[in-house]
Amino acid sequence: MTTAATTAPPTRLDEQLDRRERQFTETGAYAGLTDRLDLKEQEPILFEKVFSRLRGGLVTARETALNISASPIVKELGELCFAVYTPEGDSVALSTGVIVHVHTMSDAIKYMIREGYEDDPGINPGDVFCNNDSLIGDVHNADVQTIVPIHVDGRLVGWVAGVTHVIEIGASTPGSLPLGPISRFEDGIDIPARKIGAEDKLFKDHVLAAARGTRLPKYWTLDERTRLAGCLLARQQVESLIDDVGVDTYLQFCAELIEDGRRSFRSSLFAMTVPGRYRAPAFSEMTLGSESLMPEHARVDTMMHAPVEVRVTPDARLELDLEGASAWGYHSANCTTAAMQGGLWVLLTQTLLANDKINDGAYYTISTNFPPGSWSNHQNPQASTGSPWRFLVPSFTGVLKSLSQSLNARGFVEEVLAPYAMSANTFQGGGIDHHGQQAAITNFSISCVGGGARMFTDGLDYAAAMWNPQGDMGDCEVWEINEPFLYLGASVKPSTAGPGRFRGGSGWESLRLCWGTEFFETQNIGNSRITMQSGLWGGYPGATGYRHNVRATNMFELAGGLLPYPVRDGNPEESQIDALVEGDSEFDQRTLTMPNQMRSGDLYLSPMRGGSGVGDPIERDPAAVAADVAGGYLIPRLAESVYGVVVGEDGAADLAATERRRAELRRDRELAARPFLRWFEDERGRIAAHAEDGGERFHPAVQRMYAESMRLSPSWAEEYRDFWHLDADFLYDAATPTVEISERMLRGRDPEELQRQPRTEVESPLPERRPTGAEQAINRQTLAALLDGELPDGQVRQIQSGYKDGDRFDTYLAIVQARWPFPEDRVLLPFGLHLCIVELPSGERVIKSDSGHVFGDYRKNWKRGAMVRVRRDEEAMLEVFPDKMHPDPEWNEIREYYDPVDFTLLDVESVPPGYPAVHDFLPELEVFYRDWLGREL
Amino acid sequence: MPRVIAYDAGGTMTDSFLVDETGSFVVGKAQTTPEDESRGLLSSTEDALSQWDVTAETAFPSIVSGVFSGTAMLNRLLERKGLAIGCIVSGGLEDYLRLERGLQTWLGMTYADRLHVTTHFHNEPLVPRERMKGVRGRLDLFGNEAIPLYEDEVRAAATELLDDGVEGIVVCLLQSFANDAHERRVGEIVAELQAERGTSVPVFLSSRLYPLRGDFPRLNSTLIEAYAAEPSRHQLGKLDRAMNEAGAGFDLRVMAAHGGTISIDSSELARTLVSGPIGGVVGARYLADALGLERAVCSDIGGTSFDLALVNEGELSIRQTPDIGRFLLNLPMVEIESIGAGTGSYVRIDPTSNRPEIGPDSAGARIGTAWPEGGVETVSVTDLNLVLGRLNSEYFLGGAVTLDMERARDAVKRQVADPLGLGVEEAACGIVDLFEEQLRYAALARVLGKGYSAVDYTLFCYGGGGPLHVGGYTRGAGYADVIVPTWAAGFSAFGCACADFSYRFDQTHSLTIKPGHESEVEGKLRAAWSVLAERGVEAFVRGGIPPEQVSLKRMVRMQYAGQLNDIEVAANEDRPDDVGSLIDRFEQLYAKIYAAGASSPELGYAITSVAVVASAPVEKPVLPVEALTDAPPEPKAARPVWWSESAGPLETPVFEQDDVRAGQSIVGPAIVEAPSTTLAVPPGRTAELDKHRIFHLHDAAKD
Repeated sequence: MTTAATTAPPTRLDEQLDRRERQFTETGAYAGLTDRLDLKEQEPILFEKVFSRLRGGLVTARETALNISASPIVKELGELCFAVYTPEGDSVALSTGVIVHVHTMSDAIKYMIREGYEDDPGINPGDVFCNNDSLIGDVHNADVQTIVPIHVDGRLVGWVAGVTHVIEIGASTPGSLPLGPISRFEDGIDIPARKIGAEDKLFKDHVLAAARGTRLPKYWTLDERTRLAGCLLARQQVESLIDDVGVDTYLQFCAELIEDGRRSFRSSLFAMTVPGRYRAPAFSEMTLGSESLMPEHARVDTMMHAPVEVRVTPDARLELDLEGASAWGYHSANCTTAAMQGGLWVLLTQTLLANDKINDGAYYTISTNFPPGSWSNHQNPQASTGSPWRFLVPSFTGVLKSLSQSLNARGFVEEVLAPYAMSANTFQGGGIDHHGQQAAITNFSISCVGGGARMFTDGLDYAAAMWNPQGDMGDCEVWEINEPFLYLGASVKPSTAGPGRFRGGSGWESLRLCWGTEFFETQNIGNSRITMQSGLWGGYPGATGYRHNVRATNMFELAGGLLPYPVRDGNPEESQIDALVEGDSEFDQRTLTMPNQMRSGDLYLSPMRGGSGVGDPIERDPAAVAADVAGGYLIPRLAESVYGVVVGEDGAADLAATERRRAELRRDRELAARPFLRWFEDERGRIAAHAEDGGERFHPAVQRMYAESMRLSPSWAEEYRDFWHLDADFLYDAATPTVEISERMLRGRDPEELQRQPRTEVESPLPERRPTGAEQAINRQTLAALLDGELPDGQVRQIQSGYKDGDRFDTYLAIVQARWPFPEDRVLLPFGLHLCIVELPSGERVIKSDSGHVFGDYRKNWKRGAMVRVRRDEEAMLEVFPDKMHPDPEWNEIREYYDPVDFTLLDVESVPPGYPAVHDFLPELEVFYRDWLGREL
Repeated sequence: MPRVIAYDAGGTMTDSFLVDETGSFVVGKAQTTPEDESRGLLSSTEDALSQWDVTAETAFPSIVSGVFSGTAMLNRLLERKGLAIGCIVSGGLEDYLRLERGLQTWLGMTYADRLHVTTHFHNEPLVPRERMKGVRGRLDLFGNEAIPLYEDEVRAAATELLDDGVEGIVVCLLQSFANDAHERRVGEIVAELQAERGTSVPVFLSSRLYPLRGDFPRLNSTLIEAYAAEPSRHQLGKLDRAMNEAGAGFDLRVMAAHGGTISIDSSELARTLVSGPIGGVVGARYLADALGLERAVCSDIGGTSFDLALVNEGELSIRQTPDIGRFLLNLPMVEIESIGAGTGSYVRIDPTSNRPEIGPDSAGARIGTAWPEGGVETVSVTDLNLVLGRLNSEYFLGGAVTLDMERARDAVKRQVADPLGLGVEEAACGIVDLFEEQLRYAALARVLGKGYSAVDYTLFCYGGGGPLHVGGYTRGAGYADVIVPTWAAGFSAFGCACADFSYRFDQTHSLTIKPGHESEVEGKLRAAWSVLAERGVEAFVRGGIPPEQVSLKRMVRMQYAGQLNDIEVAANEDRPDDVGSLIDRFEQLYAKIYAAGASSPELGYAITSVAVVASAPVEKPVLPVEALTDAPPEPKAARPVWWSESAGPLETPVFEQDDVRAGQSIVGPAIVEAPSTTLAVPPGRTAELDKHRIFHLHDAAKD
């Protein structure tokens, strides 16, 4: 039965919302549409027409509204998006633009419904609502939402909402990503889902009040007009659509479209992934421990733990679980569930869901666990969420890495991506600008960083960022309108990219000269202690960063004498700034600071990070390494120490010397590595000593991170103790004040309610397996050429952009099997670059490398059968990363897992000391073969 | 005798369009000859003239105006076959072409791929990194010198480039649009060096050529001028000489992005990088003017795209930083929105959602599955039209290509109809309907998005595929009129012939209008305009046109102070610098362009750039005038055509376009065939041919 069409809906919104949630819980389908989608199947053309008009209306509204904005990040960087929602607040369709907010606005609408806004303050035709409260449904205060209801003949039939990222939000520190607030009360303008207008006009008191709350009222005001104009235009389009098709058809269409979105996402998972469990923990840092401008309780170094576990369920749904996440803190990087959903949405729309038909259907295919009290779901009305991207960006590297593992196993090698880079160092500040005006800036050239390496080619250099695939660094001349700083240069930053057989995308840097102001504060916002991401299959993570600012310089003396001044810093080991300019230099790895005053003539360096690599660096084409040195992508010293490539005086790789050097490197690895179990025992002892007096202690931030995770999550604590064979009462002895606050605050609350996601226990039947049409098939030769990097770029892009072929797994498996050096083995599942799950002649199913080493049963962590080397001192770090761009070994060690036969590097873990070895991929092999492929294993 | 000639030299065919003094016209076609374009041009002309039984020798001397548009320059750029260029940029920005702007890694991609980050890629630089030279020195945005120019570095850089044997040197320094002193000095130093060395490599200063804010698009435009436009200048010179040798007395002009034509001697030839699609819009504006229409929607369907533009009050809107071939440029260009929906667009059913998708990629010139020689395996919109009987398999491109109906039917059944659970014709009809609905909405959205309604606009339809779908994409939209010229297929070339002979010069000037200080702004405006006007006059004088024949149009781009988006405001020519009337015009325009609620007068006003368009008179085509007839139109044949899923096939009369006479009405359902295009008149619509040989499509009920 298709309940959406046949039962009369309740007239009250809160009842409608309850009904929708109940329908989903009880049937597992949106709006209870478990069966045929009548409109879609009986009138496929009409269905499509309605869709294209709805979406067209949103795109038009956005394009028109864009022109009203004054904000460069809205106008030039597209930080504007509109969406249409059902009466219950589920998104139906959305415009182009930054689409992270599609679900956040859904949460805001549902909040208004649940809180009874229908009665008070009333939801009437022409009303305008605004929200920027992240606990209600937002990422952070800077993302401001305008929401208007759509009524037909007095009946509410939906909502249109629009969001912009406002450039200045009136927080305790200037800019839109404030890193200074330590509580909610410093996050700036706060509008917790309020009615701000009626009869399509804004209330004057709201307009005046908001303008008084920011350092840059003009931007706020124009952005608000932008959103309102777009919402009204989009509403008009929906109204005219309803005029043409009728309310009932329209509402049925909305429900079917969302259910169709849910089914499509399941079909994508079913077609492109492998059921199983994926783990890729990620970390982030908040280093305010030496920041004298902070109150004492916030003057702490924090390490964030994102124990990302992704599960693809046997019935083709996606689960994201952050059980074990560390606690919220007195800083501005805390997240709400809405922010987490936003991050997930951004990531999926760049990978599995890159199309224009996405809507909340995907949301209903995903189950999440964001543990209450953790940084990912802080639940504390007093916690600051001014700059959650600082945690979101790192943590979602784990999701990307997990998806890549799955895409490779399934043969979709063209979609594999290693983790991307962090947007840092962000240039942000405020003061009196060169026009003599009060000003605040956030430089959004941070939307271009290095992407992760691909499976057959290097990562995309200096382009997109995780939070905006359509990244752009803008024009120097346009930034110089708003910023009292002159560009002295913008250039490729060497050795930012994570090394690998294919390296990550490179980062870049800009050097700025403070100019035309006597008072402007800037802050440094970046990472330096930890790498944020790990690489993929032996690739290293991208480098960390540093700050290099110089105050009271002799810049103008240099210029007056026409003497060289710096235009970049380049390789920090041979810093150009250091070489050419004198002054009070801040040249260190303290990359997070509160705003500090700068004056004309001072220098500020903004280095952007690079993405992580794929595969063992000593398998990289020597010519590519030589080209990287020549092109300034790699500092020469690291060509030998990481890649084992000897570059001759002519700049070309010396192949004979390279071969010798690489053989040496393999021997060095052999000497430096230990069998897993020996490493495990030593490490275990080190950890156990924490519980004893006089034992060596990890860095306080690391201890606190573990203590928080273990106190917040008994199950994670148990797993931790189990892994290291620790006593049942083992705990890190660190104060965790925010955990205690959460415990008190959350006591007695319904855990499900704290997750705020409708759930269902109903298992849906698997999507249909579909044969590949002749038009979409990719034959073995083509796929092999793709894998070997021999396919022309244009053809690769065609494959990436086209529909995915249903036979891919078998095509890929045949290639892998044919290349497998042991014909007696039956390859069951590709596992990485050198690893496969194979069935041995004995019938055992094991993980085995192409060197012939058997790592053990495929259900166990293969790393137990590997040789391990841990880089935990500066000297070892400097073999991989440049000085001032390497992780701090007290915070972050680099673990390398080698093949015991030929010492090929199989995996790099970038984790804090004491972290369990990550079991990255546990496939449900039998389910996959039997239920997904339709044949026995 | 022909008076006006225009060429559109595409990648495969060169069209020529000749008009005589009565407005009669002929269209000629010939293979494009990339190695020496003049051969293609001449054969195309001969082909056209043969229809009038005139030889080139006798016809050429009577031609007074000749316009060229072509894709050779764009191809040179896209295929990276330009000159060896060296660049001198602000020190520290030598990586301009490696870093690009992030957006150049996804420009021009479909929406899905713009999201799909793994498809993004950098452009191959036009200049290798070692020929990108930085020189220290900095100006700020006010044009003040923050750091003097390091002239020794300039000398060293220029010496290295000249030693390297570059064929051109591009100079683009930060903020040079505000103060060109540093760039000029670089130019002088290079000139001194060249004098010493006895070389004469051309030097291109960004502040001289394209002085607009935005360093990266300015660099791109200047670079393309040196890299691709310079070689094209030689090509065009050859064309001009060939014309003259053939007896022509006119100087060949080239269609430029701003909607006017410029001399091949112009120093800003990169403006002609894109000209074909501009031609159509200019032609529509010309027709609208001739017919006394204030507002028009221009729509053009080719094989790959649906192009839309608006004419408002007789003016075309201009984009300041368009992108072409994944390059962001600062060449003011007629605003045309291009949607990936043409007659060659592929039709597929998404296997994941089982939902139909049209485009955005297309079979293009390879037509569809109906043409086996094209090698296309995926159904295209043309295949659907054939299946429905709307196209004639024997008369496609005038019979030059024979289409295979059975092959198309089979493909449509397998790929589209079966997955949707529909019959072949039902599916084809539904998808064409959806296609037209999407086009209809796209066109309407342009109008609605600017705050107008369709009744304020007349829709012009042209391009080879337009007439086939115009009935569908204007259905029920409520336009004041729907116009289909009988020369729709040659409309771009026609439009080129209609373009003014005009130069456009733009210059960034940031002028905030502070109440009480209007006279300061007015003084600055006068000064800025006079510099540009001088350049305009100079451009004509160089081509032998005396200053008194040059007329000037002064414009500014204005915005609410602080807003990023600006709109173009033409000055009142009686007193162009009157700030009050500029503000009034800005407010009027703003209110017309954007939806209510956007007006923000409390922010104050700012001028962002000034522009001058300098024009000289040229002869343009006159419209044909034919005597009206009372006789009913005579069909040449009839065939069953599907017009809707519900009605099934209807026996439909087919007319030959040349046989339809002015004054006759074709009542739908009907098909009007011409060698280059097919007009479909759906049931309930009537196409009436007016005295200018233009069809007006209206609802039958209106009659």
